[in-house]
Order: sequence, then structure tokens, then C-alpha cells
Amino acid sequence: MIPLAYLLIPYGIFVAAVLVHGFLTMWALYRFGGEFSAFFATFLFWAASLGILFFTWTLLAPVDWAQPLLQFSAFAPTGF
Amino acid sequence: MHFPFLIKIHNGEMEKPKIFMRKHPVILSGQVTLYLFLACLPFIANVVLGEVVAIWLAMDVLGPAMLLLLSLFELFVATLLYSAFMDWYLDVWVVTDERIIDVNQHGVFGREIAELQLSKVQDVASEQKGAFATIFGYGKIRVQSAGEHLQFEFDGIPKPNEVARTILELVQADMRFHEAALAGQIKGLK
Repeated sequence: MIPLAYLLIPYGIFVAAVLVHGFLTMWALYRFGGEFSAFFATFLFWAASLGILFFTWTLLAPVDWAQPLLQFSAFAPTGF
Repeated sequence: MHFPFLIKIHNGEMEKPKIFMRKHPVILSGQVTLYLFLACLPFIANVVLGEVVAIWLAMDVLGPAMLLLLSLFELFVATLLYSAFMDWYLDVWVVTDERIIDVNQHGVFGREIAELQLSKVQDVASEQKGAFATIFGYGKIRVQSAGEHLQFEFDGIPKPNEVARTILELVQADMRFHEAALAGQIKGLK
């Protein structure tokens, strides 16, 4: 039995990639720019990203992550 | 804005930026509108499909999987928006009293800086084509040079006619400066 929580692994990897990309973009913006519009865009990006993560967390809070994602039946008595 | 690419010129003085340009904000807002529409697509689908989506979301496995996918999609669109802003913000053209500098940002790590000496400029042309360009007042500037880079093109520049005129004035001022410097050298030799 593969639990539903396995879905969180690719999700976590993607979120980490987005956060790393966000930090690198922020670094590039301040390395070569750094005016108000860059601060504002950075604030909007982080606010949006954290908002998305917060809503995801809230909506998925009641989910039972231990329930099976896939149930293999090949080895069941009624199988092949 | 930092100008790390400025150099020392005549008598050890730093060159002075005279024109600083980015693409017109309308060009960025076109991209922003597209990405905002993409971000709204799942909610539009929710309205269109109605009860079907509610049934899917109520399912034990499909519901959480769909929510995770939706979350990933929205994060991806937010990243695209931020990257589009960075590309727009860091793509700049600076005209100093000595050179024209074209800075192109390609992603986070790609940065290309091309330059053209004002003394090599032969001709400057501006062009405004299309309804949007005319309404919002942006266009293209072509700088023709005698060197290796035959042509410098700046697209999406606000007020291209005024910018082209200013570049020509700077070119003439630079020419006068070099002529005077040359005349001074010749005088010194005599």
C-alpha cells in the first residue's frame, strides 16, 4: 500500500524549487537594480507564494494522509 | 539603479549616464495580464464545470491531489510573473556621454552587455508601428554604426523620437569634444 502522503514528496520538491528560484531572482534584482518597483514586485511575489501555501495548508488540513493512494491487488488471494 | 558597467573616460572622469531606458511598462503589463488570466483559469473552470469539480474535490484521493496540483500551478504562474518582471526590469539601455550600453538579462544567471562608442555612431532612426505603439507612445530605435556591430536595435522604447534626437545631440557633442581634443593635441605638437 502506498499512502497518500507520497504525493507530498513531488509537491515539496517543486515548492523548494520555486522558493530557490524566488530567492535567486530576488538576489539578481537587488544585485543589479534595487529601486522601489523591485521591492514592490518582490513583496507581491512572496505575499502571493506564501498566500498560496497557506491556503493549500488550510484546505488540506483535514485530509488523512495515511489512506492508500494505490492499492496493489496483484498479490491478493483473488488475483492472478 | 546601479551602473556597475560605467568606465573612466577623459582625464580619469567617470562617464555620465544621460539617458536611461527600459521597455515601455505596457509591454510588461501585456505579459502580466496573460499570466493573471492563467492564474484565474482554474477558478473559471470551477465556475464552468460547477458541481463536477465539487464532486471531484470531495473524493478521498482525487480531491487532495487536485488541490496540490492547483497549488503547484498557481506557484508556477507566480514564478513566471516574477521572472517576467525581472527580465523587464533588468533589460536596460543606458546612453552616457561616451557610449551606448545595451544590457540584456536572460533568466537569473544570463546577462549580456553590449556597447557602442558614440564616436562610431553614423545614424539614428526611430520607428513607431502599430496601434498600440502609437497610442502608448513606444517604438523602436535603430543605431547604425561603422564598427563590428552594424546595428543596435532598441525595441519597445518610450518616446522613441525624442530619445533618437537626444542620442544624435550626444553624438554631436561627443564629436565636438573629440575634435577639440585632437585640435589641442595637434597644437601641442606644433
